[in-house]
Amino acid sequence: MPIDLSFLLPLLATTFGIFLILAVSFNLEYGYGGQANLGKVFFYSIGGYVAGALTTHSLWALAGSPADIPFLEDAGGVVRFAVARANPGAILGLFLASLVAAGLAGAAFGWLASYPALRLRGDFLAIVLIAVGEVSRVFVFNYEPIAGGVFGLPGVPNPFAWLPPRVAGALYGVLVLVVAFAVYIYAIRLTKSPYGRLLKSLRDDELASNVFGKDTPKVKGHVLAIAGGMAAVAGALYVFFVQNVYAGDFIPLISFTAVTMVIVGGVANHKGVLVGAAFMTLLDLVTRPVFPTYFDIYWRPPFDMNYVRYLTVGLIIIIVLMFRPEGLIPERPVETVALRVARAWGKPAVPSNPAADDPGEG
Amino acid sequence: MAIEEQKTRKWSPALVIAIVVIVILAGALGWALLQISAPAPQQINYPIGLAIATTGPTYATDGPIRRDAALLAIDQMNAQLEAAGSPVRFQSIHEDTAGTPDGATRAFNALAAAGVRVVVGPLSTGEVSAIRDFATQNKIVSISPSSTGVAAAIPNDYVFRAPPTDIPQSKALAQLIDELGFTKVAIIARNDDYGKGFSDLFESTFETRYGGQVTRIAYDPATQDLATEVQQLASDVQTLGPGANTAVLMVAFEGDGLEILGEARLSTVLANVRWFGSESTRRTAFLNQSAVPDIVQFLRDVQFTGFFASPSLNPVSVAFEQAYVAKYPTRDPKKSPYSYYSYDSARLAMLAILAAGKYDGEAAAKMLPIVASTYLGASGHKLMDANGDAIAADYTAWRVALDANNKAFYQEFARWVFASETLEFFP
Repeated sequence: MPIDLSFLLPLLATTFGIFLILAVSFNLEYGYGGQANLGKVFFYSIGGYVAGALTTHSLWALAGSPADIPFLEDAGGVVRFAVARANPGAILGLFLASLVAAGLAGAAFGWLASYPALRLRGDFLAIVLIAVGEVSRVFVFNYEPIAGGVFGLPGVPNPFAWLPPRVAGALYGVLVLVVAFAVYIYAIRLTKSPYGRLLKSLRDDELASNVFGKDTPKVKGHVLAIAGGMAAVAGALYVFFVQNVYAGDFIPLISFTAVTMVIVGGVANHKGVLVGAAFMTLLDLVTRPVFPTYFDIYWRPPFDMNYVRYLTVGLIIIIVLMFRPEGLIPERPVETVALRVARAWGKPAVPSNPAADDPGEG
Repeated sequence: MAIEEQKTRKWSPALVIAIVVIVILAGALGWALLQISAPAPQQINYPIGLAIATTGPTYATDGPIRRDAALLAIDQMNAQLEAAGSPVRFQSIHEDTAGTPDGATRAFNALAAAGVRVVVGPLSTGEVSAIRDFATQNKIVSISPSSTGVAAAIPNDYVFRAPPTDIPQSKALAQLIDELGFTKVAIIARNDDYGKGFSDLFESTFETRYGGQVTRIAYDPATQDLATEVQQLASDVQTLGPGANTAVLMVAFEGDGLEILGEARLSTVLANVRWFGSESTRRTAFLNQSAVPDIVQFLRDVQFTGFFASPSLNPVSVAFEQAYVAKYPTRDPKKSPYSYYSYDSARLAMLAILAAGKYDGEAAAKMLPIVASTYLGASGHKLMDANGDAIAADYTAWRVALDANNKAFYQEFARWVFASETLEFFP
């Protein structure tokens, strides 16, 4: 069987795009802001729930809220798919509205998360945020109205569901990539601005930043809100890909996948994040048992290749931490005028001090 | 100077990592190539996807047993095809779904990219719901070996299910419990699509049809320690009144079932009421005298009772069990009742393709109900209804009893007849 790129490329593009947004989001908080948000999956899930609820309820209303069909069951999902296919404008509009609503909701929860971040640091903050993610997952898993409880909520159609299925998949992959790169470029611009260097000062020495008159709690709130919004957008993109909302999908592994991408690629380095996201996407593909069959190699190993996948990811993290703790592409000082002048004078280059930087650089 | 120093050793660790990864992947690929025997001339390969969870909290124990049952069916079919001189060979591709809609969706996409048009799996109703539209739109046949949720019973799609829905089993169990004189039931059930789906149906039937009273505890299947839940169950039984008309219903798999029983045997309240179980609780592990003697004694004391789809024992199921143990000496198909359905799902998938005469999802989907209508497998008849789900057959009631050697076993003592919805007790 020849490889069918009309399925493979959209899968890769969608996975990569969502991974990239998650990694950029975590890098912004941790790499630049020093806030280890290991509850990334919580913000991701918020986006999923918001997009899922908005889309399914709106499509249901468009269908006339049929009383004889259960909303939460597959029959309800079938109705929603039918409505989406018959109303291209509606599903496209709902998709865009979902992205915006998810981003705003994620940002709001990110801002709320900054309150514990004011009192907790490092490991304690990370543990609290992990717990928040888990508590929310368990709550939604047991409370049907949000995401269908243990069965999940089916019928969140691909925004191009009205097109032939392969075209719809391909277009959605492209759309996810566009959104991901928009987020990526925004993050680059943000971190190259004086605000980015303020973030770094927070990470490197919060006290010094305070001494220079910076409102560090507010900055923490900003960065957690921005990154929370990004993660929620990734969550919204995700539910339109799987076309279903299921609380059980939002497990801590997603947070650790984001961490892995940043560690492997390089902390506080956008190119590193790009490499990390690409690396994890390809690793996910090449360690799948189906991968050799793309080349007509049918192979049934005497062990379950699926277990090897998880071992490989863990092994890579250990190797990177042992031999290259700064990641494949380490952090570099921000190219400011002060740094260029220092280089020209032959002095040792040091990471810039935000207070000494040219505020117009960026 | 610091930057200069960094430059001199910038790529060496990265190279080390890259080399290690490349060596691992190249080694695996090389090994794979060595394993591949030269294909017979003009051999035609038909891939069968196995989207079966083998990791995750729900299926880490059961999943591998079910996967191996499907693999056994494929190996047996290939041996027969070879003996018959046919150029066709079925190639299995197993993708772990982790029991989640996300995993199932990714697995189906990855399998579709390999040209797979017929898939055995996924296992759960939640996963089935997630892949339904993708499978139907892309004409990929999905045969689930264990999805039983009523919510996923939809006509005119590419999803088929080898077991019947939970409806007949819940009706049978409610009727049996009523006929045995119990009016109050305390349920302890997995909080997943199987546990909740089955409990909902049972509760509804028992309350509305028989006027019974029901309490329920739903537990997280991923939780290792269920002592609190079992204490709550004992409290529920106390509230209902631990008399002769109160019973417990356990909806569990193997690991969680052992944990519940291990805790329950310590409770005098729970040891003095009759226990019933869903079909997923008929486990050989529960009756392992050397490993869990206290649990075996407890199950005998409480006359643990349940149902299983008939005919649970027929020539095909016996042959399947023997072949399974011969191929996987360390595994026991009885540990997962749904391994029988996995075996049948894989066989149905292959028979449908052979009947269609070509590897095409649309053709296979059209042939599958026809093939299934005359198929009798390890898990019984597979005649399908308009939703593509196996029509329920009769159910056999079992209870824990002692054989002539004083060994505990599941004794079959009654049959629930689907057509008439009546119970027939064996003499």
